[in-house]
Amino acid sequence: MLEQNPLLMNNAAPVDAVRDLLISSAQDRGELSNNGPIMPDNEYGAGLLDVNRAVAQAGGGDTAPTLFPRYHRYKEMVNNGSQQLIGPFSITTEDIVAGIPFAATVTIEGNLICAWDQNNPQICDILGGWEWNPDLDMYLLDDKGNIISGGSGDITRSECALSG
Amino acid sequence: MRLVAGVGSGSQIIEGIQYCANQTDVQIISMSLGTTSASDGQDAMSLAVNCASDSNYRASCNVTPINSKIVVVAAGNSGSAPGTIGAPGAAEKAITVDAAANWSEDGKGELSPAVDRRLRVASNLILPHLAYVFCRPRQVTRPVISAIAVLLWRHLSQPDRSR
Repeated sequence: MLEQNPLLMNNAAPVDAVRDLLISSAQDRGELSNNGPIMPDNEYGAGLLDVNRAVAQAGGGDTAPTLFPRYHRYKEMVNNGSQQLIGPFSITTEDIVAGIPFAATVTIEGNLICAWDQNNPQICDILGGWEWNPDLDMYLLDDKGNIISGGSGDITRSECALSG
Repeated sequence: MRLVAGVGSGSQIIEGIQYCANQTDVQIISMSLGTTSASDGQDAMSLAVNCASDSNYRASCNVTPINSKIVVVAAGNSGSAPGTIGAPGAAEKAITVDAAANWSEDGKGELSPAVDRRLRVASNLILPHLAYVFCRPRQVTRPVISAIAVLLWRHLSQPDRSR
């Protein structure tokens, strides 16, 4: 037997149902925040949107707040004096959550060049060989400094940008 | 659909909202635009949003939407003081969204007002399997919320939730 989702009370409009869900699942922040109902304020609104929780509530499932990840790192790359931009950061045992892989993303400003001949890029139109300039390398080191994985061909596998 | 190129008139926006409201296969209207002046939500653009979203408003609508739409609007960049959200973000039935200033558990709205006495869902997002998503630039926030809204609605409206 088909049943209407009880969250859709009185045939609520879609926008009301979705908004109510987003609010009820949000994690309250701001000066009006308390342990009770969501108290929106001008800076935080309804708070942090907990979409994981919203989806769970939509399905009538677990409604526990999602923990804010503790393993996020952000690193501005700096010039080390030899025209190289470096941005090392450490991953400690506190950052590692069992069963959850970690990932590194590098955003780098540059452009595509033809590795065969930068002055004759039409060669790469025929032979391939486009690559991103400046190049980037990524290495994963253990606590003794040994390379576990990395390099420009290991982790990244291919150039990070698409032409066109 | 593209309504304006950079700057457009309110009537163009309203026409676009009404057009989308009358498309059977449209579930969501997502707009990253708004007036620079504040609105109390009673302007024509905001009312067009209400008309598109809720059948209870249809008696006062020029165009009757085929079915109710979810309308997501960018909150704007006018700051966090009260009374700084323009139209159509001030519409009562809009889900008006804002982005976070930084990656943190307390990441507050960056430049946009978040509430202004109405709902302004904002800040960092927590997505299934992806944990939090830090939407920067801010322009990313609205389409992400729009996609989430559609998914939530489909989930809610699925009669048999055991599937």
